Amino acid sequence: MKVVLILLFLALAVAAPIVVVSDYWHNLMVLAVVYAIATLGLNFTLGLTGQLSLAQAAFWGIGAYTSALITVRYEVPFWIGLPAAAAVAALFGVMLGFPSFKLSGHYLAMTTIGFGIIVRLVLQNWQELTGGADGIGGIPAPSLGVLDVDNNFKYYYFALAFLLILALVAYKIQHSRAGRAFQAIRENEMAAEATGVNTNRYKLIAFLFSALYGGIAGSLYAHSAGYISPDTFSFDQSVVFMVMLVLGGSGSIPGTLIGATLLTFLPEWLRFLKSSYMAVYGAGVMFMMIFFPTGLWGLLEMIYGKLTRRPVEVLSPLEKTEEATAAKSPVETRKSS
Amino acid sequence: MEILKTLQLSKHFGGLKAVDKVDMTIKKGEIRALIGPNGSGKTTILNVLSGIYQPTEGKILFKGADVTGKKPHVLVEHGMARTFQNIRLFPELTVLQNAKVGQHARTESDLLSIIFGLPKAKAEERHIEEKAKQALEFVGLLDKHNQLAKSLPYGQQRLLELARALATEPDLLLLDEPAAGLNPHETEVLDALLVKVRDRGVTLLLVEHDMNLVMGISDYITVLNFGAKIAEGTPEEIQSNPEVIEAYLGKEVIHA
Repeated sequence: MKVVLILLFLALAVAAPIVVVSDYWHNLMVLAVVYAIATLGLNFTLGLTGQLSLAQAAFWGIGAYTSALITVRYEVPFWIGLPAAAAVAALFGVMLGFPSFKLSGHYLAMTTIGFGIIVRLVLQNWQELTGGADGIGGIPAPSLGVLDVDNNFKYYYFALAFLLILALVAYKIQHSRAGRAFQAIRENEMAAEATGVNTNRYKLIAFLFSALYGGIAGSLYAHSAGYISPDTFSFDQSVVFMVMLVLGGSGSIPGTLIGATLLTFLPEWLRFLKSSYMAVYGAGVMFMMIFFPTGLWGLLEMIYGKLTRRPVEVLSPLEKTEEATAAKSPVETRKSS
Repeated sequence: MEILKTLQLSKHFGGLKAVDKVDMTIKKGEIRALIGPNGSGKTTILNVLSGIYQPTEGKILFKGADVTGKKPHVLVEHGMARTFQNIRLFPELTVLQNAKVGQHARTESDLLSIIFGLPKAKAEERHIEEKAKQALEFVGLLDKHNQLAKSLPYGQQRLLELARALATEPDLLLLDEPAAGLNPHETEVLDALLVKVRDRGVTLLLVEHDMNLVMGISDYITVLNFGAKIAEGTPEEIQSNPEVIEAYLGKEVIHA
């Protein structure tokens, strides 16, 4: 089943820009991929580890600006800009990880929001470094030797390759000892620590990966857009990333991809609603969150579970003496990792 | 061999002496019970021993090494594990995943080997799965390994916490009211399991209110009241100790 879904997803992803020809939509598709990478990053902190980080757009912006500045000012290729963006963002990520040792919930959220605001203000006001409100233009397209990735159609496949690799890495991490450590922290931090998980260390690692992915997404964004300015990397955008993650399915990789894609295209699909589109969009998000807090992926899993109902029959030693009636409803199960 | 030794261990919360200069020595292979009225400091002392609280004064020696003030995950590496009074499972993870977390401190695959799928990481993952399944089988939960922890009934959740603690391969297991909320039959099953755990070489320190369990299973009992140790001895000695009786039942006042 998993294989079928992956193949289906790949088929759709590869076919999309061929089926839909307009450059406008191709641009959105590139954006969807960029957003997906950034949201995959947020999945490490918020989704897996349960750390309320509202700074994802700041990491995205740090990555975009690092890559843009280096390639424009020092005329180095994208292939130096990208790792630099990732590294600088990751550094800030680790920095933001330290407050998470002692802070959680609202207090951590406020700290991350504060960080995001500082980043945007620096981008806006440090004219000499960042160009201030004028932004940075003339960001070069990535070059693959003979080929330049200089239009949206090519860029889509270019970015998609990154997304697939990064999604695979995220998948491997999630289904490993490290992934379990992250999730243990989210589920019950004290128990995680008392079971042998170095919670501080793993929080730092979560923030590091979150920022790393955000930084890569930022670089990819900058070199596709050709021009960036501080307004893009605002708190509002961090909220968008959070909604993409939670709506799609916090803690799940397919959920993340669905959420990012959907929320990139939904504003376009709802355009026919003209001025009421915002209200419908907002109401839709609220509806999903109230009735399906596990997100779209959670909803799909639930439907799948109901379609493949199996009664539970085995009893454990604690129940063996009572003539426990067989369970009436299927107990929630999930693929173990 | 002394596996755990506390020297004048104290924990104060402001003016409140929750744990007051407690000296305790536990031998390897013992089943030691820690009893006392509510509020006598039993859970606090467990929290100090397991690193969740820093002691205000005193020392903790584990297998001869000074572990005073070390963080809980470090203590797990040393070989100390614990369960909680109010169950602290990972509810949205499966039974098997809960147990696997227990193996975290016994393994070391770093992220690079995980990302590149190196054979070392894969071998370790198989090892983790095996050990986790062994722990689940020991408590009788192996058949439920794919269920979410939150879907287990209460008694089985307690067993899962025990399995998770056993998966850390401890030398000393601290149990905080493991029988709380269990019916008499479930308590019997727990009793038998704990004896089996001890027979495998794990030392047990158990905080418990269920006197049948305590008297039946313990080699030695330490009694606390108001944070201080008021008695220590075999079950028979403790049962007839007047100070213990007074702590639980109060003193009879005779009016002339």
